[in-house]
Amino acid sequence: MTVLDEPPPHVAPPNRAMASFRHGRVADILEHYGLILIFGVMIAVFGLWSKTGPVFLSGANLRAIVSNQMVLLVVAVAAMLPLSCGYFDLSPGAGTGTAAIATATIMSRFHQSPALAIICGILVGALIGSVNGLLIAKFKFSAIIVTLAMSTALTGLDNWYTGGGTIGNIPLSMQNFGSLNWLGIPRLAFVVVPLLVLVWYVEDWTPLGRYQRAIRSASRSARLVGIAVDRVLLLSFVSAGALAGIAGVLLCAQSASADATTGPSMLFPALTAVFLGATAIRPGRINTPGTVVGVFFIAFSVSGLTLAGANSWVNDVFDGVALFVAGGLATVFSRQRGARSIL
Amino acid sequence: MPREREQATDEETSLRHADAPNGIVSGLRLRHISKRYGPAQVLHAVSLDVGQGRLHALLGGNGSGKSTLVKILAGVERAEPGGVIRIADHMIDASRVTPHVARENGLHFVHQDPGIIADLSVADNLFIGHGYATGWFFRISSRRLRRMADEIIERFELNMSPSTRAGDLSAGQRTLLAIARALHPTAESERGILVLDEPTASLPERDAGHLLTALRSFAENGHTVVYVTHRLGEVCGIADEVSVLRDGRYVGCVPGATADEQALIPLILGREVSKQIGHAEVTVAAEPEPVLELRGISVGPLKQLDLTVNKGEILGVAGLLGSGRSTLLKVLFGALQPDSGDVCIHGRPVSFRTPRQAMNAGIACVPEERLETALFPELSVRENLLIASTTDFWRRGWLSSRLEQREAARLIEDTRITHGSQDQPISTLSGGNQQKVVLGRWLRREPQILLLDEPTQGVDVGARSELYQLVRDAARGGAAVLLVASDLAELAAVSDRVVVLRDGWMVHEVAAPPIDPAVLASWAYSDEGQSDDSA
Repeated sequence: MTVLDEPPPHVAPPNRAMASFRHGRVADILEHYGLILIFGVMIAVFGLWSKTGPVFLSGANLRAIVSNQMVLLVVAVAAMLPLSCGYFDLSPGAGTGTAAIATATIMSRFHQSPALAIICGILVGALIGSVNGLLIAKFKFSAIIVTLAMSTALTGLDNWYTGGGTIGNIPLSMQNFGSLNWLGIPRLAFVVVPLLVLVWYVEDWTPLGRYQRAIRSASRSARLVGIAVDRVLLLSFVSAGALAGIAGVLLCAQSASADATTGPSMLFPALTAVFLGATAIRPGRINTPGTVVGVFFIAFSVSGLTLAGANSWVNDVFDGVALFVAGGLATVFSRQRGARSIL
Repeated sequence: MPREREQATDEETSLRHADAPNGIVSGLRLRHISKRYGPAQVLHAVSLDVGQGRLHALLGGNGSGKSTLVKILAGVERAEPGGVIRIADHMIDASRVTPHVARENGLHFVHQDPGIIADLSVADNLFIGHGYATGWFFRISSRRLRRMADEIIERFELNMSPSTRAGDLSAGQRTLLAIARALHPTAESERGILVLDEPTASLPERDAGHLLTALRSFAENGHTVVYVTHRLGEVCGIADEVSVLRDGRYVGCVPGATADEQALIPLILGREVSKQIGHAEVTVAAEPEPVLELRGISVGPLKQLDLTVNKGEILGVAGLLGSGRSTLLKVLFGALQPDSGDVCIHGRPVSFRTPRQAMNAGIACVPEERLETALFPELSVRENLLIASTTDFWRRGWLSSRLEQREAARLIEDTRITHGSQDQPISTLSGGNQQKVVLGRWLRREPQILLLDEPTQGVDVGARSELYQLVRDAARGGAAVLLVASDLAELAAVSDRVVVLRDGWMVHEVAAPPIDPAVLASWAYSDEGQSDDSA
C-alpha cells in the first residue's frame, strides 16, 4: 500500500538471481547430475591425457571395465534393498562369497549339473537373507549387528571350508558363460542388465518401493497407514540375500573358481557405490540408476589411475574423497529443500 | 531492530522500578517472552512474576505454551528478541538463554520425563549431569561418591539408599530423585529456582501428594518453585499463586488462597475459541444408527468402557493425558489389543491385530504427534496424500504417475491445502497444511469410522476451522467420528455429543448441544471427591 511496503528496486534483482540459483535450473542440474558431471570430467581427463588416453578409451579397456563390474553391480543392488528401508546390510559381500563356494562345491566336489548348482547357490543366498530378515524384522535385532555378525561368521566358515585355497574344476559351459561374449557383449550382462531393470522397476514403479521409502522416512507412521512394515523388511532382506546368491553364482562363473576372500572384499565398494548413487539422479534417495553410475564411477577411476601409474592406495583415497564431496553436496542440497539427509 | 532494543531497555527500567506484587521479594520475573515456530506464534509477549520462596503453579491446557515457556527458561528453545528474564537483580536477554546461562543463574529444571536412568544406582543418577568424583586416572571413586550421595539424601530427605537401582524406586521417588539431582550442586545457603514441568503427569495420586508436600517444604526453605501442571485439583490449596496461560497468552494470576475450580476454569478455557471455530449445525439423523459399539473394553488405563458412536455423529472424548483417550483410539485402530471386551461395527464383532485390518473394515485414524506417527517428512506432498491408498494407482504393473498427480490435485483442492507443488517434501509445509494432508489421506478412503487424536495440535486458528469443516462434511457424508481434543472449548463447539474419561473410567456424558466446556472441564480435571460435589 505505501511505498515502504515495496522492496527498494535496486535490491530486488540480486535477490531474485540468488533465489533462482537456489531453487532454479543451475542448482537443480548440479544436484541431480553433479556426480555424472564429475564422472564426465574424469573420463575427459584420462581420455585426453597422453599418458593414459590411448589405452583408457580403447574398446578392449572399456569392455574389460564393464565386464569386471558385472558381479559388483549385483552386490551393490543387493546392499541397496535394505538400505532403501533405512537398514544397513553388511552381509551381501560374505553372502556372495558363500554362494560362490556352494555353487563351485556342488559342481566340482559332488559332480552335479551346473543347473542344480546355480539353484543351490541362489538358495544359499536367500537363506542367509531370511535369517537376517527374521532376526531384524521379527525379533527387532539391530540390523548392523545382525548383518555384521552374519558377515563375519560366513567369512570364517568359508575360510575353514576352502582351507584358504580355491575350489576350481568348474565345468567349461559355466566358465564360458562367465568369460565369453555374445554379440560383443559379455554374456554375464545378459543376466545382470535384466536384473538391474527388475530392481529399478520394483523400487521406482511398484507399491513395494514406495513402502520401503516410507519406512525409511518414518517407520511408526508407516505402520499407522497400514503398511506391513515387518513383511516389507523381511522381503527386502530375503531379496538382498537372493541377489547376493545370484552374484555368487556369477562370481563363480567369472573366475572359474571360488575362494573365501573375493566376495567379502566387494562389500565396501558396493556400499560406496550405493551412497555415491544416492547423491545423483534422484538426490537424497537411494536409487538404482544412481547405484549403477556409482559402480562405474569407481571402476573408471580405478582404471584411469592404474594406467597413470598411480599406486593402488590412490584408488581408495580417490573414492573416499569422491564420497565425501558427493555426499556433502547432496546433504547441503537436500537440507535446502527441507528434507533430512540420509548420508 | 532499533525498536526492539528500545523496548528491551524500557522493560529493563520498568523491571528495576516496578514493585513486586503484594510486597513479595521478586525471585523470577519474565517480560514479553514471545516464541514462534514458523508461521505459528506459540507465545505472545508473556509476562509473569514469581515471588522468592513461593510455590507458584502455572496452569494451562495442551498447546497453551506452558512447556515452551519452560524450554525457553531452560535455554532449550530461544525466545524471540525483546524478551527479558530477571532473576533476583540479574537481567538476561530471553533470546540469549543457554542451558549454561540458566544453570549459572540458579535455574534448575525437572522435565516431564525426569530422565532418571533405571539401570544406574541412586548415587550414579545424582551425579550424572554434574561429573563424578574421580580418583586416580579418572577412575570414579565409589567411596567418595557414596559419602556425597548420603549427604544429599539426608539433605533432601529422600529416604532411599544410594546403592538402590533407580528402576526399583516408585515413580514418585524417581521424581524426587530428579529434583535432588537438579538442586544438590547449589550450596545449602543458596536459594535456587526450581522449575518442574508436569512432574505429576504420570504419578499415582499418593505419590503426587508426597511430591507436593516436598515442594511445599522446599518453598518454605526459601527456594522458589515454579510448578507447571494441568491438574486443577492438586494446585488448589497448595500453591501460593496460580498463573494461567491460554493460547500462548498470560491470562491472569489467582492467589492460592482463593484458587478453586470456579475461579480457574473460566481462565483456562477462555471464550473466544468457540466463536472462532463456529458451531456447525447438528447432523445426527433422527433415528440414531449405531456404527461402532464398544462393550466392556479394558486395557491400559481403560476400565470397562461402553461406548456407541452413531452414523453421522461427531462424538467428542474429553479427558486429561493418561485418562485413556489415546488408548481408546489405538484399540479401535488395531494398534493395541484389548485385554477384554468386544468391539462391534454395524453389529458385527470385530478384532483387529494390525492397522491394515482396521483400515479394511473402513476405519481411518489421524494420530496425535503428527511428525512421528503420521508424516513421512522426506516424501512429497503427493506421496504423503496417497500413501494409504497406493495400490489404487497400480495399473497394469506400474504405479501410474498420471493418475496419482490428478488425484493429488483433486485432494489438494478439496482440502484447501495451500502449497507450492505436489512434489515438494511435506516437511516444508506449515502445520495446518500438513494436517490437511493427513486428513485428506484418510478422507480419500471414505471411512465409515474416523478417529481423530488431537487433530489441531500445532495448527493455527484459521486452519483449525477448515479442518473441522472437513470433518463435519465427512460426518454429513455418513461417517461416525470419534474426536479426542485437549482444548475443551473446541471439543464442545465441534461435537454433537461428548463423553468424559477420567483415569480410564467414563465419568460423564453430555448428550446434546449446547455443550458447556466448563462442565466438561470440571469432570475431566477434578479429583473424584470434588466432581461428586459439583455433580
